[in-house]
Amino acid sequence: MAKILTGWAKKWSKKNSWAGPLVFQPELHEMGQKNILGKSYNTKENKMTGNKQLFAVIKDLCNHKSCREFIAKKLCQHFITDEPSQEMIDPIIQAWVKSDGFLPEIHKATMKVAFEYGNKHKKFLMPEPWLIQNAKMLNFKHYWGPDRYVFKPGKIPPKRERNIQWILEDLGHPVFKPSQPNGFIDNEEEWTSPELMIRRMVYANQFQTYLKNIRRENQSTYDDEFFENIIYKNFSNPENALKTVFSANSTQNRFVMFANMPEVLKT
Amino acid sequence: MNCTRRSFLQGSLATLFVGGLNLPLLAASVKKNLVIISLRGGMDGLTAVPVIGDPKIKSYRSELLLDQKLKLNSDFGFHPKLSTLHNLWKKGKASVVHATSIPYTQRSHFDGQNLMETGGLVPYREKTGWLGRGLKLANLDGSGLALTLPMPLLLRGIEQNNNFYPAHNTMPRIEIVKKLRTAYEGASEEKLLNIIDVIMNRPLTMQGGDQSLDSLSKKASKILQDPLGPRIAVFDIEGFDTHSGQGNDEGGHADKLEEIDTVIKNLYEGLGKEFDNTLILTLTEFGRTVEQNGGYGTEHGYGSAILMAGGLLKKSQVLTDWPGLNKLFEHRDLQSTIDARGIYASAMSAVLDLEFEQIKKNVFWNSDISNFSEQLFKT
Repeated sequence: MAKILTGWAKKWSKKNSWAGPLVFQPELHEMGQKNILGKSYNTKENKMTGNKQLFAVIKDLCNHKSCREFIAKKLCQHFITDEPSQEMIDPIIQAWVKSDGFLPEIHKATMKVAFEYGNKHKKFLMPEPWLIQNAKMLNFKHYWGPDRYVFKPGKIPPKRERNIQWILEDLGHPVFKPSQPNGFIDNEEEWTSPELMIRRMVYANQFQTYLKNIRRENQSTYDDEFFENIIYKNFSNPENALKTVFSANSTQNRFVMFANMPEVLKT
Repeated sequence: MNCTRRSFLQGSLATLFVGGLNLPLLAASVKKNLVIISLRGGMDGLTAVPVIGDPKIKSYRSELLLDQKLKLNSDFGFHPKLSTLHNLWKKGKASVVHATSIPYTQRSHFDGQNLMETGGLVPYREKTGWLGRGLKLANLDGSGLALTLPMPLLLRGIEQNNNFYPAHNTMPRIEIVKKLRTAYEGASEEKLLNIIDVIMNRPLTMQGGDQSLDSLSKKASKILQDPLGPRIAVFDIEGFDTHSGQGNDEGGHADKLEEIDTVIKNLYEGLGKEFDNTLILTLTEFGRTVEQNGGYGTEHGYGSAILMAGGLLKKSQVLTDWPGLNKLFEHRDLQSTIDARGIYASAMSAVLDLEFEQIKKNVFWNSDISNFSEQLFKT
C-alpha cells in the first residue's frame, strides 16, 4: 500500500507553503507490480498509471467484506454500546450490500438499529457530541457555528473562531489532535476518568460566563419556564429530569445539574 | 470510677489483642510507591547516558558530543542536565539500564508507544496496560494516579483509577456535586456513582496548582506521602523526537532531560523519608540512531536507556550487556540486549510485593523476559 501511495504529495511553492491541493507526481512514484490483500496491481498484462492504481485499490478496499463489517461495527459502537452484538451489526451490513454502499441507506439502517437497541444500552457520550447536544438544547451560541467561519489559508483564525477549540481541549477532547492516528477511542472507559468528569462540571459551571459573550437577541430569560420548556421538549421522562434540575436553586447551578444529568451524559 | 477485676482484664485484653493484631499488619504494610515517567518521542540513550572512551562515537555524531559529562564509572556518564540524578547516584539511589528497549523494531511512534504501554508484541492488539494488569494482580484497585489528561493506556486494566490535571476554571460547590450524586443514585448509575465518589473523596492535595510538570510533580510528592493514598503516579513528557537541532549540552534534547530532572528533584525533595520507599522509572518507545543527520538531529532507532531513581534500588549501577558501537542494529541503531519488559516486571515485583514468575505469567503472557529483581532492587 505504501508503494502505491508514493508520488502523492502536497504541491510546494514559494507562494503557498502552508496548505495546498494533493497532486500526483509520477517522477516520485515507485515502479513495478504491487500486491495488496491477494490482488496484484500494475501487472505486466494490465499496466496502470500510478494515480489509477490508487483509485483501483480504494475501490477494492471499499468493496472488501472486512470494510463493511468494520464500519458497521464502528457505527454501532458509536451510537449504541462498546460491545455491539452481531444482531445489531447485521442489518447495517445488509443495507450496505443491498444499496451497494449508498450512504443514506446505511445511515437509515444505523438509525433504525440505534432506536431499537438504544434504550437497553445507554452509551456514555464523548465530550464533543455532549457539548453540541447541550448547546442545541439550551440554544446557546457562545461559540460560532460553521456558517460564521471565514477560512483563510495561511492566516491564524481569530480568537472567536478558536474558542470552541479551546473549550474542547479543556474537556479532554482536542478535536484536531488525537494522540493516535486512528483517532479518539470511542469507548466509555476512555471518557469516564474522574478528571474528565470534573472538566464537564467545570465547563457547565461557566455557562453563565459564556452568556456574556452571546448577542443579546440570542439570549433567553433562564427562569423555571425556560428549563420546563426544554425538558418537556427533549426528554422521555421529563418529571424526573425536572426534579433533578430544580433541586438546585440558582441558574448557574441548574446549568451544572442539567448538563451532568445521566440523561444528558448518555445517549 | 468503678473498676472491677473483670472490666480491667477485659480492657487490657482488648488492648493486647488489638495491639497484637496490628503489629504484623503494620510491619507488612510499608507503602511502596512507583513513579513512571513516559518519555514520548524516543529518548536518545546515548545523549542521556553517554558512553566514555569509545572513539567510534566521534565519527558518528561529532556535533552532538557532550562537552561535559557527569561521570558515573569508567564507561558511562550522565548528561550535565541530569544533575539531581547524579547527586542521587552518589547516594546510591540512582541506576541506569543501558542498551535496552521493548522488542519493537519498526520505528513508528504510534505503534511503539502503544507497545511500551501494553507490553505486547503486536500493536493495538492489547487494550490494557502492563501496569494496570499488575495492579489488578496485586489487588490494588484505585491506587493508580495519572498526572495526565486522558487516562494513559498503561494504567488500564483495573476498574478504578484516578487522574489529576488541574482545570483552568472553578468547580461547582460541593453541595451541587452532592445533589448530582443523589441524581445518579436515583437513576442507579453504578459507574457514575463510583466516579463521583472518587471526586468527592479527593484530598486537599489534589486541588489547585497548574498544569506544568513542576507543579504536578510537587503535587504528586504530597499525594504519594499519604499512607492511604495512591501508590502509583504516571507522568508524561513529550517532545523527545529531535529530528533536527538535537543539541549537545544545551539544545532540544537537553531541555527535555532537564524536565526529567525537575520531576525527580521535586519528588526527592517533596517525598522526604518516603523517597526510600519509592522507585522512579522512565519508559520510552525507542532510542535514536547513533549517526547524526543533516539537520544535526537523529532519526528513530532501537536501543535506548532506562533511568531509575529511588530508595528501593539496591545500589547505584549501570546494568548493561554493552553491545558496543562496532556492530549496530541494521547498521544504524544501538542494539538492545535487554528486553525492557524484564525491567518493568522486576520493578513491579519489587514495588507491589509480587513474585516475578507470577507477573511474568499473568501480566506478560509468559513472554521470554529475564528477572533482574535480585540485581537491581531491594527485595
